[in-house]
Amino acid sequence: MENYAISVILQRARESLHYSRNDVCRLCQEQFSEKTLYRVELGITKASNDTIEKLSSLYKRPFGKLHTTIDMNRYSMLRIYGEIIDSVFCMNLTEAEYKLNLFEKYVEKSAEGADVIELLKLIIRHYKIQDYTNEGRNIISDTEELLHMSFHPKADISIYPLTDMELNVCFIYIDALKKDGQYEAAIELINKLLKNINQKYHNESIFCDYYGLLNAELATIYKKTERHEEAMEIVRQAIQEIVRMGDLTNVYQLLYIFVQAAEEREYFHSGNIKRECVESLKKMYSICLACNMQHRAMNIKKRLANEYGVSNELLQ
Amino acid sequence: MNEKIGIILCRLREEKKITRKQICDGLISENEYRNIEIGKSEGEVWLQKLLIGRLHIPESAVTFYLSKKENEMVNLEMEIYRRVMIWRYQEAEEKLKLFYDMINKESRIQMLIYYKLYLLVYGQRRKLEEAEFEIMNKRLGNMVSEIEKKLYEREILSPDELSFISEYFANSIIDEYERSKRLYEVLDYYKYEYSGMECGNRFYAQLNYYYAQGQYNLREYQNCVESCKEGLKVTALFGNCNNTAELFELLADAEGRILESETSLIVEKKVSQVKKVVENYTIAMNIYAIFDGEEADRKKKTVEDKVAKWKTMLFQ
Repeated sequence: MENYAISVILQRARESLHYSRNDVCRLCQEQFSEKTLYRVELGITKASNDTIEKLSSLYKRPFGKLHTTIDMNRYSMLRIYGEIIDSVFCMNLTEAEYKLNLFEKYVEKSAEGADVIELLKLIIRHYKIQDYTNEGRNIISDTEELLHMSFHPKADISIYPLTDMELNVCFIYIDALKKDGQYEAAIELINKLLKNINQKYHNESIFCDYYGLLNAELATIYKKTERHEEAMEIVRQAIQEIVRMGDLTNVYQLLYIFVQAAEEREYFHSGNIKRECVESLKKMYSICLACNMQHRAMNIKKRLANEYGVSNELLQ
Repeated sequence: MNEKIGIILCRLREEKKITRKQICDGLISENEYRNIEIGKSEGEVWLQKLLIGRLHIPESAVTFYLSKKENEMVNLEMEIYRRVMIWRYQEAEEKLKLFYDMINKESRIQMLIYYKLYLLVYGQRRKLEEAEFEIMNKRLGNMVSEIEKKLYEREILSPDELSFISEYFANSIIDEYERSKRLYEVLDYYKYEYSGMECGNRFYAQLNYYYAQGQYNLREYQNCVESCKEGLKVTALFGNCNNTAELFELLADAEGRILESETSLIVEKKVSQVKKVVENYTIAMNIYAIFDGEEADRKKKTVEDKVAKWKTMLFQ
């Protein structure tokens, strides 16, 4: 469930576009006063539906996008929508396309509905193209198109309130920047997104998820750019933070990056780091067993035995 | 935007052929409910949540636009859950106090949500006293008996109501046999009404844990094993590691008891089963180790002792 404190979101959206309250009232043809907007943004007055509609269209902020696009009689389609995104990120593109076809049948034929379909198609296409240059396309401009479809092109991304879907699109852009070798630009974007979610206008569950994912991306880029120590430090801090809030979803991925970074630089010759690697692999092993990923668990077990000399008995 | 809650309620209620009387039974009057459906009034967020829950709509299907205070309260509710899941009871208690300060004490629905959390937070730490139940029953009026009645008569209950009643049963001062019988009713209701629904997976794992605990205390170890495995199916499927450690520990406890009672096993078989018990304890131990907190450390230490005991048996 996504919850939004409407007053906070409206204020952040306005500020990220560098509009004053006066600008907003003018652009909305004075349909409400500056004082009303001030009270709405402070949460003193509850905004009327009309006001929210006006503001959301001005900020290009799709409030309640899914409600209007999905045929609500077939609400199970919402689950399919989530599964499409999951399949894409697991690189199961055939499955994603199949589900998209199914999804398309049940989306209302509104402009917003068409937007969501178009966006999902572009996302799938992005992951399907193996080599952009060969196909005569530019990965950056293609994915920028995705970004502009999702939110206001002038928005300051470190403040602009982003939904789950929009955050996913940002991840695709980061992926494009990585593929294009623009590591510094990717780092800059990740840092802006971290600043954004650190404002904690999302609930803790969404915050934890993206905090883990963004830090995993950042650590991966640092590792790629030979900044192994920084990568390891980021992983340590990120794990500490997400574990404190009771989120385990990204711990496996972060531990994996840590071990890889340590191994690439042969840091594990140092006693402490080697111990950290063994502990990380042990935790990864347990997470695999807990999540019924037997095959991965076996691989970790072998790795511990062959590369770290940890016997089965010690593991148990 | 709020009118959308009314539209969702109306369309889905009609699709599911649920009458207005059924959906608002025990929560509000039919007239008040009708006003929500036609967009004349909104109803407080907790009421909206309970009504939406009674339609068994996946949580992700609805975005609630909340006031600043409501948003804080909904997020606090989630934070309390997460802290309990990682055994940080002190933090959970502090957040629960904040939650109590924020709710409207006149609202029975808000009090129901508060007591659901109260039972969860304190029930995990200590045995609740009769006086606490007396106060609770007084504050909630006839709500408890109404929910209980609906449960037995298989009438519609929201996930919140269902999780309240399971916490209530799990902590009630009744004999173990009676508790198990009641928890079985909740499990049966869950399978009957919520099977396959996304909205109750965490709750289902927790419920299986409560039931398995009861079966363990009644020395019905085989039932305990089965219930633990049922809970673990859900946690594995959704990558929810938080309930996993306790379920693995209880599973190993029960399997250990079964093993102790077996006298005619051949040595090889016995060794392999002891290894299985040790492996299950190890998974639990490593997951406790990920969450470094006072309580998690204590739990880890307890499991370590159990592992040591079983390992000694293995060497013998």
